[in-house]
Order: sequence, then structure tokens, then C-alpha cells
Amino acid sequence: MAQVGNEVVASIGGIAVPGHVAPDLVRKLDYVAGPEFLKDPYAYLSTVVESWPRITFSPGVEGGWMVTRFEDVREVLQNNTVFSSRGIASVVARDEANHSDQEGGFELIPLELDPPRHAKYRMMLNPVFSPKEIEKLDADIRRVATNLVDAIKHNKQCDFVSAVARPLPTIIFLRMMGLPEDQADIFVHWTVELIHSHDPVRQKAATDSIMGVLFQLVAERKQSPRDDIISKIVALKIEDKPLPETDIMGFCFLLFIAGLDTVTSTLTNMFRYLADTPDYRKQLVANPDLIPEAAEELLRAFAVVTTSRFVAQDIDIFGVTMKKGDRVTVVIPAANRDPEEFEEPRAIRIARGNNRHITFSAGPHRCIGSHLARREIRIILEEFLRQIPDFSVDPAKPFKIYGGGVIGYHSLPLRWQPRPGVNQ
Amino acid sequence: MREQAINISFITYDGQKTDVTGVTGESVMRTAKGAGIDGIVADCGGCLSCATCHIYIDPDWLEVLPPKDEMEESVLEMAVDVQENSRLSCQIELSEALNGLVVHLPKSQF
Repeated sequence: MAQVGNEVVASIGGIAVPGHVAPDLVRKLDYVAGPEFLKDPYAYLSTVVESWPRITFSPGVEGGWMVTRFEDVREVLQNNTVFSSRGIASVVARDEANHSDQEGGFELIPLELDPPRHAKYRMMLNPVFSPKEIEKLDADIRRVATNLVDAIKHNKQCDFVSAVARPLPTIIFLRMMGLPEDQADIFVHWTVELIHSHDPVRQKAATDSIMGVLFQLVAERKQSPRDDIISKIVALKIEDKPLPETDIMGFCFLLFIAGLDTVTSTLTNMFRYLADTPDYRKQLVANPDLIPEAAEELLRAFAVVTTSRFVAQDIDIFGVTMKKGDRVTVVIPAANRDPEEFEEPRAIRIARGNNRHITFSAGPHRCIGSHLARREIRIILEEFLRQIPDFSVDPAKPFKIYGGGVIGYHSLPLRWQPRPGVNQ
Repeated sequence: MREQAINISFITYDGQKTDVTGVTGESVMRTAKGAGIDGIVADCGGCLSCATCHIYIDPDWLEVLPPKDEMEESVLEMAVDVQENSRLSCQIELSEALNGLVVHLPKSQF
């Protein structure tokens, strides 16, 4: 036994774990870089939710309780009195007392706010992401999707990530934010650096670059507002006062990181599956009307986000004792494969009745961009399958999967035969 | 006050009716979830973040219901196919006056 801070720590197999954790629950759920996970992320997570104990404790940095069962994950995400999201993203240093502003620190708004403060901010964003507003983007999304597929269809091959999955949500996001589309490449680069470099120096540099552009944009829109999200955020008021600069940046930055990488990663997992599963793909090609419901099932099977909460008060729950400050990680991609909730969860169907997946999370922080994400995913499935109905993963080219907070592919080499009747 | 049984009928988009019994003080959303009504998703759990518990109130019952507040109005914007009689079922608490309430489910929650 050793004393770390005020916490009694036991050593199990040379790794320190808190004294209130039963040794038989200490087990590394490596959804970041474990070899089994990287070989086939979703098969690994299915195995975990099917055969591991209800809850486990991962030792090490960013370790803590790992929750994988559907009902338990829902409980953590919905019960914000016990499970707080303060500080979960830790983008930059922040001042706890003032909720912000320590050497340019800021909170991701509204993700890192707990109720009741959360609701005030969340409500402001509703008009921006309502189904009515998103529907207005339909033609734009389809045009971007068609252009991206047009650009590659005669090539017989592509890296799906750089050709389609990254540019689509990025271009749409830039449009919504009122940023020029020709900046898509640099924005893609910053997103990848920020989320996938796992290098604090590069992440800081990417954050600074993104913030630089957003700061400038905020200043411009304050002077002359336009019909874009930044102008709407700048015009927001809380208790009749304009939002402080840190809040504006918190909003903008969260939209940036939430909206780009998640759709990209989701698409890469879906297209890997479609490339490997011709029977499934052919049904969608033959009957595109099936795509919306199939997309929903693919969303269930390939949820990408794993997130965390911090225990705000000691509690006995899920058969264990949790202490204030413990990190609780909810593995949503595993929860969506829980056999207690979904019949034959490993089977990916075209349509699954009563499909209550929590791919968009649950509780107060449930994804506000779900209408946009669904529309982008549905449209790219329609456009890609229409023009490139028959494709597979190129066995001659290597590709790499990433895990952690988001599951996806760094690159996904696809190849296909040109369609008969299509002009070369 | 003792809980009282309250009857609600849920009618799906294609006309299938399910009668459910809830208790006073419980929300229409929780009553529906408890009874396994498919058309109610309620991702956020009733904290006004998602609009996936959207319902249509039968015209006969509109006047009996307490009106929606500003928060509910704002979140309803996030629902699909909103009509005059749209409500979020997490915000409607069962009371004696609502015994026999008839609720119509939308085609989809997203």
C-alpha cells in the first residue's frame, strides 16, 4: 500500500490502482491501441460487452471505471448529479473558480457544462441545428457529395478518407461557419493534428491555428454580421448581455471539433464494412430507398465516440463503490452491441425495428448535430453507391485504424472497376 | 397524495393503438418508455436536450393540457414535422385531468 495524495493506493501487478477498487475488476480495456482492438475494433468491443464483467477498472493514465452495458452507459450519461462532465475535454488550462480564462483557457460550450448552467447555452444553439435549418443545406450537401464522387469515379481507386470522408463534413462546416471553402485542406490538417497526433506540442499548435482563424472571424462578424453560425453566436445574449469572448470561442471551437472528425470517422467505418460485405452493399445499390434505415443500423453498429465523466460524489452503483473524482469512461460503441438491448447485436441488418442506439450519446449532452450528421451520411451513401456501386478494400495498400475517443481509419484504400456504360 | 392510475392511448403513425396505464406525477415519456412504446426514443432522458420524445396531442385533449413553456418551445424546434399540436412527452406530467389522454406518435423521431 502507498499513499498518493489522500488516496490509499494498492499495487496490482506493479500498476497502482485506488484502494476502493476490487482487484478482480482491474483489467485493461484497451480501446486506444490494444492489438486486439486495432485488429478489429468492433469485434473486440462486442466481445468485451458480451463476456467481460459488468464493469471493469482500467489502470494507468486516463484510466478508471469502464462502463460498457447499454443501460449503465445511459445511466452515466443521463445522471449529471453524480457524473459530471466538467473538465472532460481538457483542451487548455482553466480557472475552476471563474469557469474560464486562465492563460487563454476556455471551456468547450456547452459540452463541459453541467445542468443547470448547461441548458441556457444549449437552448441558444437549437435554432442553428434544427431539422428545418439543416434541410436548407440538403442541396448544398448533395452538390458537394456529387462533386467529390465525380472527382474520383474514373480513377478506379481512392483513399476514401482524403477523397470523401474528410472533405465532405469539412466543406459543409466551413460553409455553415461562413468560412471560405478553399480553406478546407488546411482545416482538415488542423483537425487531424488536434485529434490524432496524440502529441501535446502539435495539438497546441493546431489549437492556436484554429483559434486564430476563429478569433479573426468573430471580430469580423461583430462588425458586419452575415447569415452564418458565427454571426448567430456573436449575437447571442445571456441575461440580456452579450456573451463573453471566452464563451464565444468555447462554442465555436466545440462545433469545430465535434462536427468534423465524428462524421469522417463514422463514414470510414461504414465504408470499410460496405467494401467487405458485397451482399449488404448490393441490396442498397438495388434499392436506395433502404438507405435511410440501413444508415441508422450502420450508425448503431459503428458508433465512434467514447467519452468520460467524473464522479461528483461517492456512490455505490453498478455493483461497485465509486469515489469522488474517479474517471468513468462510457464505451458507447460497446453499449450499442449489448445483447441485453439488441437482438443479435453483431448481425448488421438492413432494417432493425426499434433501434434505440445511443450513437449520438444520451442525457443533456446528446449530440445537437444529429440531424446534420444523419443527412450528410445518408447523402454520401446515396451518391457514392449510385456512382461507384462495386468496390473493395485494396489489399495491396496498407491502412491504419485509430482508437481512443473516436474510432476510425487514418486512410482507407478502396478500388473498383469502372462501371459499364459510364463514359471514361 | 396517493398515486392514481391514469390511462393513456398511444396511436402510431399507421393507426395502431396501444393502451397504457401510468400513474399521476409520472411524465408521458416515462410512462411510454416503461410500457415499451416504440415511437418514443427520449435519448436525453427528459432534460430538454433532444426532442426525440415528440408527440402529437389529440385535438380533443389540447385544451386540457397545461401550455408549453419557453424551454419546451425552444427544444421542439429540434423535432421533425412539428405541428400546432406538437409537444414533448417528457414535459407532460400525468394528472387526474389527463385520464384517457390520446396521443399520436410521429412517423419518425429524426
